[in-house]
Amino acid sequence: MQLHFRPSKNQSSNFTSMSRSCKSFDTHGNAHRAFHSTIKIKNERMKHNKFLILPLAGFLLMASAGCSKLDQDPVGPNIVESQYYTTLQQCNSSIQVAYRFIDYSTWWEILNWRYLSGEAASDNAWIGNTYQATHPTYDAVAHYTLDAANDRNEAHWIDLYKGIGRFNSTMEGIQRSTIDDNNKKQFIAELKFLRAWCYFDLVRNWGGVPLVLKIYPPNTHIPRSTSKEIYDQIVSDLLECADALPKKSQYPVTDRFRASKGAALTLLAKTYLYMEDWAKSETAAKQVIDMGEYNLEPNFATLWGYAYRNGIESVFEIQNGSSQVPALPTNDFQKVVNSTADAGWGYYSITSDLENAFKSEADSIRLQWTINRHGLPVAGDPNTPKFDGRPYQTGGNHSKSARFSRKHYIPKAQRPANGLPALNDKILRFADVLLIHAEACAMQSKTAEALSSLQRIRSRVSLPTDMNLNGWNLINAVRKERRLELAFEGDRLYDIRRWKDQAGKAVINSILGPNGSFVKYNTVISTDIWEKANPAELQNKGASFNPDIHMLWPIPSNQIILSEGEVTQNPGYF
Amino acid sequence: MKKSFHLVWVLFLLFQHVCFSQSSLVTGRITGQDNVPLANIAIQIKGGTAGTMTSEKGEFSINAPANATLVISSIGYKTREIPVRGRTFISESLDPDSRQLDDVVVIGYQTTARKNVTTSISSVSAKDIEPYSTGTVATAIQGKLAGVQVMASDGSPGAQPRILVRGLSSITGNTNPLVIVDGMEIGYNNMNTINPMDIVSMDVLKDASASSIYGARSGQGVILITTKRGKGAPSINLQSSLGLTYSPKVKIADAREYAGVMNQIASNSGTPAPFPDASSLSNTNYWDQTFGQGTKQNHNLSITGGREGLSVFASIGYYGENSYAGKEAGEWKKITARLNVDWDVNKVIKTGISFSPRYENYPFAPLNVTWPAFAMDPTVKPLRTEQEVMSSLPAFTGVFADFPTAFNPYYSMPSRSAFNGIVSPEFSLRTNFDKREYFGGQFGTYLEIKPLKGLVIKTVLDATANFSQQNTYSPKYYLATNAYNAKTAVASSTSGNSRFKITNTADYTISVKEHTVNILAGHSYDSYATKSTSASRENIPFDKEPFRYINGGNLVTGGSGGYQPGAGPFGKMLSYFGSLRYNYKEKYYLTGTMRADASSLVNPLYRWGYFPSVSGAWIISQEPFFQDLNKTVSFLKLRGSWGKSGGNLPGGVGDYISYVGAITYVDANGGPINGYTPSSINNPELKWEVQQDYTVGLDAALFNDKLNLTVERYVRTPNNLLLNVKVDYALGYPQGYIATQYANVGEMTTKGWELSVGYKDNFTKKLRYGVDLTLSHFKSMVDYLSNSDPIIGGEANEVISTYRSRTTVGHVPGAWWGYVMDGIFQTDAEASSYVNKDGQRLQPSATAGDIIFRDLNNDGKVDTKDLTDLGSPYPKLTAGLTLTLSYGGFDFRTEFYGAFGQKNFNNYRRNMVPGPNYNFLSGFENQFWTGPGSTNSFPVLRKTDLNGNFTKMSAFFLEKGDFVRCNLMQLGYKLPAQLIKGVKNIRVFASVQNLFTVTKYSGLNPDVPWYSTISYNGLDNYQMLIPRSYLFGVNIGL
Repeated sequence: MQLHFRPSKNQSSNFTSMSRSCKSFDTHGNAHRAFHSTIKIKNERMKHNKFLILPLAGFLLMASAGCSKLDQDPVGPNIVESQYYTTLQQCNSSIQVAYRFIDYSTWWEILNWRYLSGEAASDNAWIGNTYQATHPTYDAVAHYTLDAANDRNEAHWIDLYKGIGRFNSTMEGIQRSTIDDNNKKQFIAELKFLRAWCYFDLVRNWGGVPLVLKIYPPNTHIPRSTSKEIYDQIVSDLLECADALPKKSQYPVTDRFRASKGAALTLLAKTYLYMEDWAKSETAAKQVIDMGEYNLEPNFATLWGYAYRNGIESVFEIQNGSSQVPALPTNDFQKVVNSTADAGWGYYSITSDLENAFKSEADSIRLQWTINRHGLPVAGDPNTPKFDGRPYQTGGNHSKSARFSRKHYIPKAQRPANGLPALNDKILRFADVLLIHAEACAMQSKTAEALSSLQRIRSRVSLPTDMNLNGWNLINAVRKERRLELAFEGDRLYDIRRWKDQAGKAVINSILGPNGSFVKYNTVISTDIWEKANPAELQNKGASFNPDIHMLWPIPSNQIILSEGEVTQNPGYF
Repeated sequence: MKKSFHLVWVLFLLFQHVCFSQSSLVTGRITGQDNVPLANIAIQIKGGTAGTMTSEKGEFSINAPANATLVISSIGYKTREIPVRGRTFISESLDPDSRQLDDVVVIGYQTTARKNVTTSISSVSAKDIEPYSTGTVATAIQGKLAGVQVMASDGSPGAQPRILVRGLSSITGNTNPLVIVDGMEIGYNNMNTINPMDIVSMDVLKDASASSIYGARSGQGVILITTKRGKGAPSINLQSSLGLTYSPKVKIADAREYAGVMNQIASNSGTPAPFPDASSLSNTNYWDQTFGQGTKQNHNLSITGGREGLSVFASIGYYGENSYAGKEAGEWKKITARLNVDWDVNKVIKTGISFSPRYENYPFAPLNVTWPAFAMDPTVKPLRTEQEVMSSLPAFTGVFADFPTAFNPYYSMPSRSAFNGIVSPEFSLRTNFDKREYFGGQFGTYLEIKPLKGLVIKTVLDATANFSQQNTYSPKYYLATNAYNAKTAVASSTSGNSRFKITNTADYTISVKEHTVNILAGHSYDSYATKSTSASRENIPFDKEPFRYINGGNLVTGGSGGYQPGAGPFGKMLSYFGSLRYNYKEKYYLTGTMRADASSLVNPLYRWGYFPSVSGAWIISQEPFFQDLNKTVSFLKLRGSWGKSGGNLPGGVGDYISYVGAITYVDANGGPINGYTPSSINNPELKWEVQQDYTVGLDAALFNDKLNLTVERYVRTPNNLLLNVKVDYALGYPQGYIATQYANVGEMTTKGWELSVGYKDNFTKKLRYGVDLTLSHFKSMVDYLSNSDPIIGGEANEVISTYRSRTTVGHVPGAWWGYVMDGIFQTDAEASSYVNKDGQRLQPSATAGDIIFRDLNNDGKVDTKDLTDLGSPYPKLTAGLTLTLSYGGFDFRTEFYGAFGQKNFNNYRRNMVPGPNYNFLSGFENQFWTGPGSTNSFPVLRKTDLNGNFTKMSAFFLEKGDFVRCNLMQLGYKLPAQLIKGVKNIRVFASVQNLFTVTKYSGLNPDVPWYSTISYNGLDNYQMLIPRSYLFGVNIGL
């Protein structure tokens, strides 16, 4: 056999240089050495097989290719999560934008549920919209005929957990980062505040829910905790927040939308109220009152002005902007709760029952700043001397009751040309703090303290306060005040669910149900033409309320399916 | 060795000479195909022991009695017996022995003889590919490979059919097989870049056992394309064909018929007649006007030959095709070249290169004008004059302020029907400026060393590169107040991809006594990258060609580009593979293969995938007990295999990684804040879809190998299928409203069988014939979909409000899903008496002429719960039949393809929906209900469709798609040698492709071109029809 291949003299050094060109090969010194010794043996023993060098060279080339990393970063607009949260700026901005997701999708799902459940399932509002194909699942909630598959109920559940997931994920990123401890502590506290808000909303809607405090792998299922465990988590998070968060005034002006010590304490006070821990609720509320950071706006109307944002009365609110570039979150909710005659969708029209509540107190200021009533001028909007609530008689996109929220209305002259309204959503305001304080004190029979806070609320809207109130009279006065002051801000249902009357029975029982006062009023007493004339939404709203079932909403059936049964249903729902 | 061999023969001959003194010297020449002289052919005298061998020139001389018979034999050729009959010169040509069992089969990094194969491999060779003149090789193999279903493409130039190897292997992912040309993966979509005339064979690895040597990429089957390499005496071949293509004849309604039906519908609906004076209408047959004649041409020049260890194959080819809807609708030009060089440097070292550059020119998306040509209102005149266009223009204010700049009335001349809103197909043709050019090629080199007997060590370097450049232009036009374009736009883009691969293998065969062992070990590294750039601008000053490029526009409107190393579908890959083949006495075979693949697209923690297989075969005919049967059954092999192969990855780089995305918020002053927030939390455990496959097969040769038969039965279980599954809401993943995530959860079972039979014989010496039949059956069933069940498919809109198809456990993936139809209500009374047991009407809106939907679950309501499986879009059986016949210089070939048992969604029925006023097949409307007793299967045509006859999915839209089509008929004639001195051979041929289709299906094309998602398969929806082609060609061998 003839030999045609002549190995070059410096072949060995060729190999060395090749393998050196491959970094990771250097880290495997053993393999490197073993390889050389193999070559050597072959050269000595099997002279005629020097051809082996060629394919071996190929193998080596191969090995050098193999050690060029298979690991590669994706190329494109997204940033790998594990590589983010490195600089202070990154961490800070990730917190700033996290606030967007307390109202998850910039769309209106969360707000929508706050009004569907908090107002329309109570005595404050109707579904109102009786013309769109989608309204039946809304009706089912407000009229207590819903089942666990209800899409509105599910949407709110999904959105709250999406918020929680986002806050948890961001929290994990911040925890990983190497920014200084003070910033880290504050950022995490902000996220915990946001998460606490979501759990607060979860627990008041559904009771004990799955407690998710970190990002789990995809096929994990978490069973429900008890509602006490949820409340305890909220309290512990908020206590940490109250400690770690700066005061609102300590933030730079542009950052005053961020969670502050005052916001944490306010939510804490409210949580204690739901937990019926009156003393702790009072203490927390008092801390906010005494902070000197907040006060009532002198004029109730100021709060509902288009230009109002993050004022003296604001404790925490969701920011909205009207810029298209960059696309800022906008508050589309005005559209949802406005008359169809004014390009709205006609949802959540206000009951005459609520109107009567204002009238019974001769509360003309808050009446006109809460309710736009068909045929009357809109407060603060000279361009609408006669509001068209599009009652049933006019046909077409008619609504039930022809009364809509003034709190969410933007005067025509102030509406941005691009149609993107920048009305902030008020989540917590100082009036709420005073009313929490008043209620917590009243429940502890601290009459003077309660009356003082109640009086501050009533004086602003030029209403006298009976300073002789005490006992249940005082409690009921505070409760009524809460209805009037915070009407259409999403708390009504939760308030009447948690309030107990003298007999220890939930107040909701005397309002809803077949013999409830609200049901009786609508079906027997009321002569309100705008409500009675529209049969498309049943007049007996609330008659199907069953206290054995409806003190909580159903766990969405898909949640039960997706958790493979780990999450169980609330009693009475199927 | 050879010399001593010759010496023996010489001595032998001398001895003979002594014994048979009456014998005289006979000389002769033995040639093979195309007159090539054959060396080393044994010549023996029958019944005696004398013999000789032919020389290099094919010449021999032998002493033989005048009445002797010479037996001429050689491996690879059929043995011939030639009576001498007193002649002194005998010239004979031998036919190659087509014993299929000895054919070389490519099995992945190795080759072997067919008889040694233990797995499922179907092969097709050049002689079955070349007769079908096409630029798309996949089209040429339809029906020729059992278990390989070629699902038609549409009739646009360059359209690529889809190939399914043994049924569906994925639900959401790709089902195209891996295509490997001479060892290099080229990507399925590049399969039509290959010049079919360069192909020597295609071997399809069907079962996992055969394909798993290709590991993670092999789950959809592997197509190995081997190109021609040089051999034998130099020869030059020229092949040229020219042809015309025509759209199959379709008779659509003319103006009178159209207007008549529209008037009738109006009268059924109680509305005024749209065409009160039907007699004075103008008539335009848009179908005939749009579809004329296209062209096809194919020219190839190749040189092959070898000498002193060096062999070369070189070719250059041109393929050109123009759409039968005109060049504007699609024009494909493909210039390919190939140079394959192999050099046996010495007995130990062999090296070679392959180089195949290519240039192509065709629109990225060929224009489909079937829809407007079919549906256009025939009462509208086709063109407006320039004056009519100019006088119709709106005032040049607002968006039209700049309208006259670069406005060319030419584009606005095609008419638009005010009645049905459809624009003449001429408009699409005139405004189609999509032009693309492709440059690419495949480059390979190898070094092969045989240091020891039986050991082959090989290193292969391969690369492919493809670049494309595209230009488009949107002109200004004005057709109507709601149909105009007031801005010109130009766009230009380039994209490129490149692949580099190195493969090293060591292949060692050792035989000890009757045991033969072959060991293969190898590894490879493969890297694929893509790059692209695009730009778009608006406003060009003039509508002239030089301005229709990116620099003609003065307003930049967009630009993008990207670079992706390690791009999908498999990223960068590192692989190790090996096989062990053992046989005892060529009777018992056992094979094991193993591959390990790592992809950059998979999380490093789960990066490696392992794909093993085992297979075995028993050649029963080798057993002693079989001896008696051997005269009838010359070969009988039973084989079985199991293997695991990998399928799709999600396909994107970093799909297993979690991301943050940009988002804005609002600060306390209303100003913007930019930040990043979690945008997706992805499944870190994503890996390959995987399938397991069990096959048993029987190969037999009967009647002196005239009949070859293969039967196979298989079960394959694609699992780990990628599905978008819903994540538990409470985990709060940020992606989407209902967060979903890809996970390897789906499971399917595909069962099938395949049969291929070939029979070859001759009636007389001159008259020979051959029959090849393949039958394939598969049925795929969904076993598990996790919480993705059901995957509903097709749209939910005003067209079909209930969706068309569904992928759900226990059914065929993408099964048609709708209402069972129980006929037509013949009277209003019948409709109102269709009630449940409480007396409530099941279809409250139905009146006479409406479809009766069955209350399938008997719950007293007709609702979405009554939707059910209405059949499968996949054929139960596909069949291919090739007949060949030759007589002297004449050869005849015909190929048939048929599919049976599939249900097609006939969108031509759906589009009879009154309202949009589409045109229809002439006479089709007569099928529809006109009064009691008129029909029980077609609903009434009436504008208001409260019953949902045309919007609810039901069996009404489905029709059996069974068909048989004559794909090819070809007649060739080889000119007699004496006529063509100096030329080896000349063959002329004429052929027709897609000659006829036999079907009862009433849509335009029963062989429905496939969409890319499972939910749309089987939808016959105005795809470009496959043309009929008439071709004439010539082959010249020099």
